[in-house]
Amino acid sequence: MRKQNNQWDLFGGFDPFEKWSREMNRMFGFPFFAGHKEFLEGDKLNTNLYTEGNNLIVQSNIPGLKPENISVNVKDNILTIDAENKSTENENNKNKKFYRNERIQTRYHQTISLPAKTQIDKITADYKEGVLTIRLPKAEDSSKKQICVKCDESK
Amino acid sequence: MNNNNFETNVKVNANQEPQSACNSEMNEEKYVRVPRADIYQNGDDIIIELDMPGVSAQNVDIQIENNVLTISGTVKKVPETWSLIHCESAPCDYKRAFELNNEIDAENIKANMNAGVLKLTLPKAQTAKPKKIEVTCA
Repeated sequence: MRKQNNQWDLFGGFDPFEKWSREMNRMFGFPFFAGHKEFLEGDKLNTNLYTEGNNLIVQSNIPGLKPENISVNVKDNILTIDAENKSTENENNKNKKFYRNERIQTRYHQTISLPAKTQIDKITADYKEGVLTIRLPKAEDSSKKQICVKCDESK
Repeated sequence: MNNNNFETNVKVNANQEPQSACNSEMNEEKYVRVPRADIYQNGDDIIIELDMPGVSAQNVDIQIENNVLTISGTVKKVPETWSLIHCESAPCDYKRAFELNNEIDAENIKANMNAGVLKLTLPKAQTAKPKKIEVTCA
């Protein structure tokens, strides 16, 4: 999986400072490395990819969201997941006295370039117990095809 | 983070800090992750919220022993027909312990699981009422 449209393309799509700068931004609470794409669009999601028969399954842990705050888009074989972890009781938050606040409230943004062509109209997404599962059936034309090797033996 | 004003009724053990999202420790054969937690006071109740994605309400185990509240959750395994091709977060179980003091009414702790977030409501105990001792004279 490689991030699409990555502005940090000096290393062929791989940004060695990506994780570090993201952690720094989070630590300072503002874009310390201003303009970094990750911070503006949202945090990266940890995604697992599985195959089952002819299906491709993308699974990601995003606890405490409402299904309406998750959007999944597929375009040109690129899967985009956007999610927002909003505090539902913003007004009640003022009355709360926090002793410990470890859980993150943030935006998530993740693009995955799919390894195979998919049938866009048959994609299903399901959010249960804080786990987002996207099931993408592979398109017919991406299945195996044998290629004949021709050899010209006349000399 | 308001970690400085830490005069709460719930203590977090020192080795139970989730330093990163993937903080895991070897426990026998399985990896166990420390779930991230919010602890706050809402009215008279202390509320603990834990991020435990992939854990259903039936798979959570909450125990109180010697004033230590232990929460453990088992993640449902991926079907065997699924074959992993890319992994960014290994599926593992959750475990975390909190130390309670005597001001919490351990009998009436309520737990609720919603979208992978476990919410525990710990009510404060009725403060011991002053007892009146009557003096009798012989």
